[in-house]
Amino acid sequence: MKETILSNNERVFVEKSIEEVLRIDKRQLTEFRNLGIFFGKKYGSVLVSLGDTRVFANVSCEVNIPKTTRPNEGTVFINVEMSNEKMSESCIVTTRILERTIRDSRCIDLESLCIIAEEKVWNLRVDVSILNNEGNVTDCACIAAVSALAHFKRPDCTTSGDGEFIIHKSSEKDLIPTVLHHYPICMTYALFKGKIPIADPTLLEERVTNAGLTLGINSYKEICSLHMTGVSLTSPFLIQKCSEMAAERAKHVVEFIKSTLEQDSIDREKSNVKGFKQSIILTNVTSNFCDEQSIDNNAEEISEVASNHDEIIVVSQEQKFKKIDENTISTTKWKDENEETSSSDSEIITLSQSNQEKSKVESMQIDSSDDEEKETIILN
Amino acid sequence: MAYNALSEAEKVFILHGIQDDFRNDGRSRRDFRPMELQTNVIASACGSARFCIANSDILVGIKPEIDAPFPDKPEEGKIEFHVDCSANALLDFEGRGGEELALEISNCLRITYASPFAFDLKSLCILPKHQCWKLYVDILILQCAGNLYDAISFAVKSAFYNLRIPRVNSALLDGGNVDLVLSDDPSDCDRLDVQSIPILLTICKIGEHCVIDPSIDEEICSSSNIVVGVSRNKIVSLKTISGGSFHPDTIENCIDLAISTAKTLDNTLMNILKHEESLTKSKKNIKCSFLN
Amino acid sequence: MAQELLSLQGLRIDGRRQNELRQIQCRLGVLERCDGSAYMLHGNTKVIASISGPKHPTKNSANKNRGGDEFIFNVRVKFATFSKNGERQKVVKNSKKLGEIEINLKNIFKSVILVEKYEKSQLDLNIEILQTDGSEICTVVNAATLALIDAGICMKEYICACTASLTNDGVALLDVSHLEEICGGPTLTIAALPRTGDHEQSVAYVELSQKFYLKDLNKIFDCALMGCEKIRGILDEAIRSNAFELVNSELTNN
Repeated sequence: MKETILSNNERVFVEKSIEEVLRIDKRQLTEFRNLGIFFGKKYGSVLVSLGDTRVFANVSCEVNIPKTTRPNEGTVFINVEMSNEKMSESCIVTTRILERTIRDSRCIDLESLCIIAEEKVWNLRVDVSILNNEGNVTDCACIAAVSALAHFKRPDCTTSGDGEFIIHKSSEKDLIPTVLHHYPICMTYALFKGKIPIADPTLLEERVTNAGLTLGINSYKEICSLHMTGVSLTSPFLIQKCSEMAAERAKHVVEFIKSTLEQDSIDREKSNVKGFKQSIILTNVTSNFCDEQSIDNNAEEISEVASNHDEIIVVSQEQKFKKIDENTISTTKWKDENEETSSSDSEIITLSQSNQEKSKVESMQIDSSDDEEKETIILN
Repeated sequence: MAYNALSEAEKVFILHGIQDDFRNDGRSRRDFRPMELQTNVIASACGSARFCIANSDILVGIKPEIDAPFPDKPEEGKIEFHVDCSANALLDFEGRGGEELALEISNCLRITYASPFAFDLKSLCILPKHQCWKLYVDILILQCAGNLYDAISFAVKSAFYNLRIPRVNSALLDGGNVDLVLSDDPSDCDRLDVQSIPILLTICKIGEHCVIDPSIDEEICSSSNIVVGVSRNKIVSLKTISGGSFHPDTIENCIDLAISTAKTLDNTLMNILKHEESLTKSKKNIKCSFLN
Repeated sequence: MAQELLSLQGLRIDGRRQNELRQIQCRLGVLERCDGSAYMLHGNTKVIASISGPKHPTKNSANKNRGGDEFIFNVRVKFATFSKNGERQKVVKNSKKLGEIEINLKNIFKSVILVEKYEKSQLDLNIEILQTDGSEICTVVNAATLALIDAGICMKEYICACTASLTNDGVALLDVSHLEEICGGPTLTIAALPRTGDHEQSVAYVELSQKFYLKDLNKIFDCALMGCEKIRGILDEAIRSNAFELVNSELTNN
């Protein structure tokens, strides 16, 4: 697939608007797009959406021979695939950033992956595929890889002294979760003219600025990786400024991953595994900054996302909107048409769906009967 | 294999010069260009050497590894040659351009060293049938100004002279496993006998005459080239390169020329190597670094 | 971390002080058949960089550029098979690590070369890494800068690269050797344009591995940037002495 040429008009338009502190999708310069994390039915598979960028990650494990230099540690292999080219530049860069952020920061307890020292260890393989690139693939891929690793469970193993071991089925022994010491999260800023950092650039913004800074930070304010992409000259001061902004954001993303993981395990206990179908109808929305904004946008967005997947939902919003405090995640549940439930202590969001219309498409197997309980986390 | 484009007039000039035994760089037909040698240039290799003939610049590094011998030759070690053409050397080497040449050179070396007169593979044996040394000889062509074969063979020989293989203190057969005890002292090591290691000489036929050490321009003018591998007055390999044909009588002349030249060159090379070693020994604390 | 990077006496594993560079030696014009070349010895890391061009774009690279008029800059990096201690390096094609280095170098130098002067032309940078002992990328960048200057390519400024690390106690270490890299400290590689006149230092490339606290970022950054300034001095001296030698040899020849 060839890239379309970026016209000069588009370029100038984006440049001018950024100079006037405006972005095409109405975000603030330091605002990130909505993040959604959806776990699959299998352990270790996850779909992450960041705005319209979508990334799927899957973790699998196999028994392997350890490296001679580290005989009692398991190994992690990260593979990123983009649909267009096999070894494209961006693919190499993304893979290396993920390797640095996740593998080199030693966030995974590799020693726990050892079966028999110097002979057999688990090799975790993280396959990340970019489904839709609407900018900032790196962040999305990183969140996907980290949450897939945190979600993954491997089969238990017992060794019997003389170099033999048994891998137990999940029915025999409980699966063991992967131990993550910390959750490193990538945060990308596009560097506009090397001076103005723009958080979470869209594809258009990426192509206009042609330079970016990716920081890997965990919730303990530890920097795990730092990478500059593209052609640019920046001041060291700016990099430090970005890193501070990123540290704030990392905390929230990690919290969000953890809460989604918890929710998933609760759902699993109730054997109410939703799979990916929830990602299609409803979106999880988070954001750092919450300026007053008509909730119409939200409704539009939801319907927009849905229509992308050939599912039409028209959500119209009638009244009330109240400002939500920064960085809070409130949960809104709705069950049926026109039924309003809000489950947040301090804030009230009222969503009324006056008209919900769905058209099913054969290719997508979506069971979206109305009695099914769905959940959105909205923060805006 | 050459990059330079030569005009007809230039070719004729070179041809006439060789007829009069006066080459365009002032040499006679039997002269070599100035050579430069330095051993032990790469600390991460066990044996290394850099050899230049004029601007043909070759770097060789040898790394030994423990391997199992071939079942049909249980008492012999292994040698593997790998030639890498740097894109710096010639524009033709860009991309895949150098691969063909690299393969040709490494094959020629492999054939030459396979001769029982050339190299005593048995000296690489640790424990017959079980373990032997495998020597990886990696050749990096940094610059090319003609006569690659000769330069590479000298460089490889120098690197072998410099090679120090860790000493095996004991090798025991314990069940199916081999227990090796390598010496902990890095200065305690084995060296190889390099006397018989062959050198290659390229004889280049330009017009009616044969010349040695052709420059890159002369290689373009030549009608045919032959590479002779010589080890102590014995011929261990013969190979024609870059097309062309020889009259049987010419080949005999070429071989005579090669043997006589190789004899003096080999002696000089050995003397220089010994001299260089004594120099570095006397100045033990002075760090000799590549290109400095 | 298995080993302490800084002893109580303030000395590092190889006996250097905290803000001390390793020995750096460089030479320009080492390869005669290229348009520009340089050899760089940084500690035990040995690198040869060469430039060919500017020249008419070859068919291959023109195709990749889809017939555009832009400046084409190709970078090729090779590790010699005997470059590392221990086992022989296998010859791998299309490895991701090499690919990444090549992309990074391309980006670094595109930001300093006056690209508008070289439209419709091609420049090839070839790197041979002969021996490695940590800080390879920074040695490669410095060697390439010298090669570009030797080839007479217009650049905004020298671009210098340096590495820095951090001990457990939060002391920044300049110029990381291989031993220190594997001991587990974080490594920051930075390529920067040094301070000149009114211009502040500007960064063309940063790369960081291993984690440390955000509050230490300042320290490690300043340390690496200071290293870049020092290296600039060394490069500058090499270029000046090379130019002086050239003039002298010209004068004596005539």
